[in-house]
Amino acid sequence: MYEVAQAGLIAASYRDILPFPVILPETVNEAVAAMADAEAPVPYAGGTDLCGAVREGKPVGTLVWLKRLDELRGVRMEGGTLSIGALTTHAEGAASDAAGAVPGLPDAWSKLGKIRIRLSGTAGGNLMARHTRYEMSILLTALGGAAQFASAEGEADLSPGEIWDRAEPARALLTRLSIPLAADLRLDYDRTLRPLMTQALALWTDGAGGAQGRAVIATENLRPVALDLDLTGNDAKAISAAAYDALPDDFADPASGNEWLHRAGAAVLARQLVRQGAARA
Amino acid sequence: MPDRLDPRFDLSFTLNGAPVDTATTTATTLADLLRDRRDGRGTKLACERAVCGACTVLVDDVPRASCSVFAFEVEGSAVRTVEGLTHDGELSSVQAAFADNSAFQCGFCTAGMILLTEALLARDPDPDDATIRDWISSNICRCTGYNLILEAVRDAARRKREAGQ
Amino acid sequence: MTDMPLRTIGRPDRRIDAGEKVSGQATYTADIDLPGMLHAKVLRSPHGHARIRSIDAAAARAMPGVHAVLTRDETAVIPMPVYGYFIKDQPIVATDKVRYEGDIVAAVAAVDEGTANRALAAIRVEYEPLPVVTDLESASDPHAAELFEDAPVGIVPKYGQGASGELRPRRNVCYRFSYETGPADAFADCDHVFEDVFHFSRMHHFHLEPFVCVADWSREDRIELWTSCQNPFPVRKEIARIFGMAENRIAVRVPYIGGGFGSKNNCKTEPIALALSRIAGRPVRFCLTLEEGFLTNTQHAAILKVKTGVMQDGTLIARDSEILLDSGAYSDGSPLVAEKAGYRIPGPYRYKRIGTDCYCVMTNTAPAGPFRGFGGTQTSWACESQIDMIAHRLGIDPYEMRRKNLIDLGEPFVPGESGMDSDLREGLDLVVRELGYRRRDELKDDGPVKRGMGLAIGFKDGGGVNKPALARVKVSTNGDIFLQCGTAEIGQGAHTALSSVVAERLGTDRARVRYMPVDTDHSPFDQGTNASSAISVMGQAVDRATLAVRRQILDFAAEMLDCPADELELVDWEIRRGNEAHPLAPMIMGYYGGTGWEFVGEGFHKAENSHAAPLEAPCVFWEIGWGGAQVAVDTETGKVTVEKLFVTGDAGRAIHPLACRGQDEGAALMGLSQALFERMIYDGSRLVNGDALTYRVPLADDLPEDFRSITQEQGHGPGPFGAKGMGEGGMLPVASAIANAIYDAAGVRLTELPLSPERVLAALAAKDAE
Repeated sequence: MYEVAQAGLIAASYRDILPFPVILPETVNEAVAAMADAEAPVPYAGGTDLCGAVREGKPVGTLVWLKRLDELRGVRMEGGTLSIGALTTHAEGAASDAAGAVPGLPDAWSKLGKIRIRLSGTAGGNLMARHTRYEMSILLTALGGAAQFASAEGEADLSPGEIWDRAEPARALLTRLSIPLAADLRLDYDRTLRPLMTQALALWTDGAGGAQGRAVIATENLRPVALDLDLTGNDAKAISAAAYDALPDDFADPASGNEWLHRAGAAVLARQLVRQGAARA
Repeated sequence: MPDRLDPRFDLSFTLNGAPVDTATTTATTLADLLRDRRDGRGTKLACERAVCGACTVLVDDVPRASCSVFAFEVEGSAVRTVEGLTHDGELSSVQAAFADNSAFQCGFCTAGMILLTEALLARDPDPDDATIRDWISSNICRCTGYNLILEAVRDAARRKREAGQ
Repeated sequence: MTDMPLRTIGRPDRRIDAGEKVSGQATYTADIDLPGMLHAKVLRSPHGHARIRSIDAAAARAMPGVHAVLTRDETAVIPMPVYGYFIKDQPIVATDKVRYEGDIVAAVAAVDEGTANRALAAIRVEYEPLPVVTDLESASDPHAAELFEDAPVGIVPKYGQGASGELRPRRNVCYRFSYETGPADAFADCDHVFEDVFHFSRMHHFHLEPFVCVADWSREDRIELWTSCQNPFPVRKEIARIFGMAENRIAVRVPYIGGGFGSKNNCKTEPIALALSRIAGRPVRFCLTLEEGFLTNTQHAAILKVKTGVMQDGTLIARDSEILLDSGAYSDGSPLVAEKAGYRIPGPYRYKRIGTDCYCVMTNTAPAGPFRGFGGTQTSWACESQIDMIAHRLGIDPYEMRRKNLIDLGEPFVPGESGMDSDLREGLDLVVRELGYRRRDELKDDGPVKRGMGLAIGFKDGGGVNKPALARVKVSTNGDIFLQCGTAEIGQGAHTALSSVVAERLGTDRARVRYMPVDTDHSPFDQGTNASSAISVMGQAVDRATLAVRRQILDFAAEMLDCPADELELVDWEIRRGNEAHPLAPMIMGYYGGTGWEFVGEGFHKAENSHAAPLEAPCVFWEIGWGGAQVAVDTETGKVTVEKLFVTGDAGRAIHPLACRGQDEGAALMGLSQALFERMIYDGSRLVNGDALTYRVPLADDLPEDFRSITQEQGHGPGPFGAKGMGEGGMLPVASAIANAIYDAAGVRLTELPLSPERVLAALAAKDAE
């Protein structure tokens, strides 16, 4: 379930990149047009990952530098949805008032990366790096969020899983992440076993007043896996064990086997449920 | 800045307070641009993928891994490197604290650690231990075991406060 | 010399490299730029093991901007295009086979790295893949593929009492080291014999300055080389042999080194850069990426089988061990590491019988070589875990078990060896006090989280084997001091410490001493900056050189002042005689003329050869790292949190206390990360996590809440002012102290590193199943 690059036939360097034109669009429409028209366009936001990606073989024809797209910065409420601009840095997002609409989200967001990365790394870049070590996808999956893309063909909403599958339209630009605010939606993100394993727990209340929940387990080598919770019964360990029955048997990586991920993940989930008052110990 | 940059273009920014106007390419990283200048080799390159932070410089007071910043990004910005911290031969408070606490060994991470500390203390003149640890965790030091670096940061904060900086 | 208060030794002042390093002015090899310099890159094997059918580099040679291409076609004309320490088995570029993923097949020098890489991409190589060998225990099976069908050139050095070595003792083993003392039947008299097996993981050094050199062989009869290298003189000798060049035509220069931890010994980037420079007629810079560092040199993974005979009261009687070291695809420093692992496995304890066989097993993985601890990390892990295991089996407190068996101060480690130069019990008791080990029963568990404490004593012989050192001290007319010796500044603070010794002996400030650049054309010979030898071995040479020059100065002054030299004292470049002060400069110019003079003293040190000593010369000093840990074990997830980590070394005399502390704490953190998480993960012959993002090294937020060290100064060292070496000891006890603490906390014994949550939880489940 994990992929490893070959042991460097050639140690690629960013000095391998040939100079390229840079386009600075002012608006999303201009950016979408640039993505559609330019030769081998690569969108560029905080810049944390591009050099690494180039060293792993990503070609750069034209760089579409998103610096001026202020409309994609910041977190805001749009009706019943929390809308996160793709260019929002982790530091801005974690500190934003709007993110507080989901209790637990600011705290979780403030833990991503290290401060040097949080100051310039963006929510969108984190997602689009498609690196299993990165965590925005985990949070978005737990919260039932989606990613909005704009392209010359129009707009498209993708689930985090579809981003892993590279299902976005060709030459599309990620614009916003959206989280529908279910009643009483809250997040508990446990990183105590990182990087071997982390787990995000989202809890909310459905239209009938029923408690609902979803857990997402991830490792630094595996795509996140969502487990739906049946919160009836109120016994944290039983709820957790039942949810973990759905963990795929091949959910394992070179650092950790399935049995441990299953057992430790279930133990962490039970604690998260207790911590959030969703079940008793 | 124009709406479009050609592969070869003229770049203007300030480096340690002095204006720089230079012809460069869009594929040139800030680290390479800085290191190719006279007296620019205090900025070190190690992992070259924004993880270790040895190449950390300040771009408009934000610590950035210069290996992963393209030079064109600093158009119109103020860039500060380790060479810009010493004035008339006198070390900055942070540099002096690193020197006096032996908060370095091989020295390859030192410029990055010092600039990270400058950025931290500019934002928070009196950081608590958890904040210091959080910030220093941005960069890798393979030699010291970090204790002496953490002590140097605390010492630097104290010196800056006492000097009213 | 009269007793005067020390003015430099022991002061927490700035290191001599502080100003340069905090201001960005310090120059490293990576910073060197020569006019017309080209840049080298290499093509590496994608196969773990394969025969090379053909290499076609014609397209690369024809590319604009490419000045030199190196394949087996070009190295065929080099006199001896292979290198290695005891065994010359590593080709400059692959010839008949590739033996690991990352093995170098071709190299290009071009106007820039991008052009070089594009040229490499145009080289066509046809491979015939072969089965890979990756498992230490099955590597010698008759059906296992063989890395070397033909024996490379190799030597077995002369060994002393009880020690022996052998080349290629069995399939895929390049070297065996054995040591034996005392009767093999000693086990028969033991009340108990315990056999345990320990697995040791593999780390990469992760030095921040990459492997890098700048080579200039543009003139046929002159090589100039700047390299990030720990042992320039042996590298000079190796280059002379490879290329058939006289050593006085080769200058090897070592600027500041941005970390090494053992990896930067012997040839790494140098032969390729030189060969390219000769072809191109221009200087060549060859700088590896950090990812390539993982493919260049690593620590040795190991399996250690330890059989220990003991009496019911805990008295150790006999220990026989078999150690398998994963040497990777080329021997590099493996035979030397095998000597040390084989020699150090008994630990700092008294036995009647010791028997060890240590094998260097070749596998299709990156070459393994020297790494901080040099075999001692592997053996301390096994030894100190097993001491605890035996203590628990016998119902004895592990602390008491250790105290009972530790070698006494002054007692030889084994027959023919030098005496122990630290009071081992004093260090152990310090750990016990600082950790609060005696009150560990009062530790509170927290639901599923269990707490406990563990101790360990890391142990190695320090100062290298049979290591000579030469130093020169010159003093000018004005009292400006030149210190010339070959010890490189790799971060350890050696230049500061050695300069301090000179200043102290000459009665002046350290600022008057300049440590001259390390350059084989000018520096006196030195075997290398390794084995914690700078202060313990080179320090003695520097001390003697300083005393020699001081004697000359005082004799000169005595003649000028017409009095006995023993009435004179040298202070701040004045001669003091009672209340009189005579400035030296006028005195010197009065005699030697207005152009002045330089006094020059040389000092030499080497342990006396002795066939009674197993390694042919007695150990210079014993490097001890005492450690203790308090852990919290989460029995539901297996997570181990180290709440307290305390380490202490014995500097003998701390020449620069902050540098000593930094060395011990840096070493301890490397030990902590090896214990808990840091490791190279292989999937067959493929390295899974060979980059900075996925290979986890410790960050500041990995520090235990309580992480401290104390530098002891017991004063028994052989170095100047009673100093001993530092730098490796702090790493040695950490993994076993944590494993011992886990047992104390949760009653499970882990014998494989790292002590991952997965292993802890599996051990707990196995215990519950019993």
